[in-house]
Amino acid sequence: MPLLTWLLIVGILILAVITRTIIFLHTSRRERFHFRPFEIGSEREEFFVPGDPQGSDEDID
Amino acid sequence: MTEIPLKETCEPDVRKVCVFLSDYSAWLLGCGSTCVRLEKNVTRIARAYGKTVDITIMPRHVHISVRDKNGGDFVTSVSTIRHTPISFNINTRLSELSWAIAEKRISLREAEERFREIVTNDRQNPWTVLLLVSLANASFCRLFGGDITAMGVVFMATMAGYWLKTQLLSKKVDIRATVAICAFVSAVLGATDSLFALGSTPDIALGTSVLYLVPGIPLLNSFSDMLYRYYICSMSRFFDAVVITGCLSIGLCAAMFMMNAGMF
Repeated sequence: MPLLTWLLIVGILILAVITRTIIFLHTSRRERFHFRPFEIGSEREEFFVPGDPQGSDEDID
Repeated sequence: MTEIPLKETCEPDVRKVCVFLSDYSAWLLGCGSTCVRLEKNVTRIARAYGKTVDITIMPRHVHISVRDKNGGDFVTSVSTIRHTPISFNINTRLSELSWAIAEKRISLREAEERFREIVTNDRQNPWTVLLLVSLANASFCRLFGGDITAMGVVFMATMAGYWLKTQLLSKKVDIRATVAICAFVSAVLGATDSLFALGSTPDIALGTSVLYLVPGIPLLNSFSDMLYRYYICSMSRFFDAVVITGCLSIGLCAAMFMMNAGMF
């Protein structure tokens, strides 16, 4: 039981350090190269057909 | 020593002084200052600008009332004490600012600029802090009679626990849960030498591995506030310290139970 607890804590810590390191490296690289494989946005940022309403025209109170 | 008041043309508006003192108080208390230091600094600044000030210090808020010495406008402001890490650097520099205002007679605008620079430029290298905290705790282990193996174990346990603490606090996890979790982790790692039969002082390593979590500054400030009769703030800080110590104890006892160490 003590050994299992110790191994579990060490394993979780190592996993946390690796995860934070990967996130840090990925974030740093993303800031340098502006690389965004996925992002959420409106379809009008990709497709525009003349006559589509602009962003401000969609505001309906 | 008689004080030389500012020329009337240089005395700032009472509202601006009140807002400045309100922000100043919120930051100074948030950085771990005692109530008496806050009162002296604020009074010094107000007097330098030709104002009188009354302060009400509560555990989470500060009430500042500023009045012209010749009995003009009377302005009151209530500000919430900032939740910032304790910083002796900011504490000292804000106190120096109050002396600069009182002795060098700097204008309110310049004082505000210096104040903004002080509170936004306290950039300690987190890795340096991590290393120094770990070394300090390992030194504590040595002071209590730990051998070199125990010091090494405590160094690693403190480094892991402190790093985890910074990560959890950055995720806005409650400080009480953070202390309990970090105490558990550090104590489990501190029991390494008893688990693997390393060194000759495993108990000391286990006991000193959580010392970095002890709330020393709140306890000291509580005592100081009590001496100067700020009983409400004193009791508030004391209860905060007791709660955090209780969470530390819970984490430590849980680890000792899981590792079959000590009194269990």
